Amino acid sequence: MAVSDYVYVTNIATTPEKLWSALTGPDFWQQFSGPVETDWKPGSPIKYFLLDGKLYAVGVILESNPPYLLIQTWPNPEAEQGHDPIQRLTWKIEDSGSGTVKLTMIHENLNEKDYQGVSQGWPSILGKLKSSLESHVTT
Amino acid sequence: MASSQFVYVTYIRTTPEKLWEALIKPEFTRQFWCETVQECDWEQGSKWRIMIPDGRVADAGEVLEINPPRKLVLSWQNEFMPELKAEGYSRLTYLLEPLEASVKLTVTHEMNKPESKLIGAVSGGWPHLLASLKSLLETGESLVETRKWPEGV
Repeated sequence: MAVSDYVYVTNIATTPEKLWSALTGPDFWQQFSGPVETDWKPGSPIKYFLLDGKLYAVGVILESNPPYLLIQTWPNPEAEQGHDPIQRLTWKIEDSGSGTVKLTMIHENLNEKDYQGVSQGWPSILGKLKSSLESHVTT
Repeated sequence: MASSQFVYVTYIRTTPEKLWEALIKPEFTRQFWCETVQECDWEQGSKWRIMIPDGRVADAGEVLEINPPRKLVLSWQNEFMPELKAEGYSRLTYLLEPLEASVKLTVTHEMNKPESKLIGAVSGGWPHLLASLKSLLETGESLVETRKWPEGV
């Protein structure tokens, strides 16, 4: 089955360190897919849990260069049963030098159905991430 | 016929009315769209253009469809880069959909031409401008690097 990649770019008034910390913190994942468990080091496993706490799949941290680059597999047992290649998420963080960062998120190896789904989901998830990093209310 | 298309979706914590104003009024566009202002009377069929602070025209076209504060469709031709101007008119659509306490803004920029250079160029620009627009409406401050027209462009 033909697969394609979804790319979303956004710019955020924050630092690479704060963005990295948000991406690898519990709240971000909890919000949309469920908790994750990993040490975010290259080669380490990453456990994806569902919102009800059940283990859904185990992926791998393929690359990790804090606070600039993170690549992880994003297993999707249903798609893999249909012989799709394993999905990957790449997070690229670039410092603009003027107090903002450019975040590029690439979701690779999507079949048509998953592409439709994630192209609705990521703008909302990453929009919330941007809003929370730019919010002056600190909790 | 093969065509080129760029689509970007962003969710902004605001109302459709405020977002509509921010998309067309100079006091907002100057802040998130590199000091540019749009000249238009915002009626269907009206001429429309974006002015660079030094007096040049960046892009120009017509209002093809206008339904405040939900939908705006413009024809759009680049006016200051000969290579892009040569491609002729593209089509820009802003779609505003309220969703809970936010507005879903979908920007679609398309041209009936394969591998359009104009669509390639705007694909790099829109995410940045729209991220700055979101910051401006949510926090009162646009992103620093979109507040000035870039030097030498």
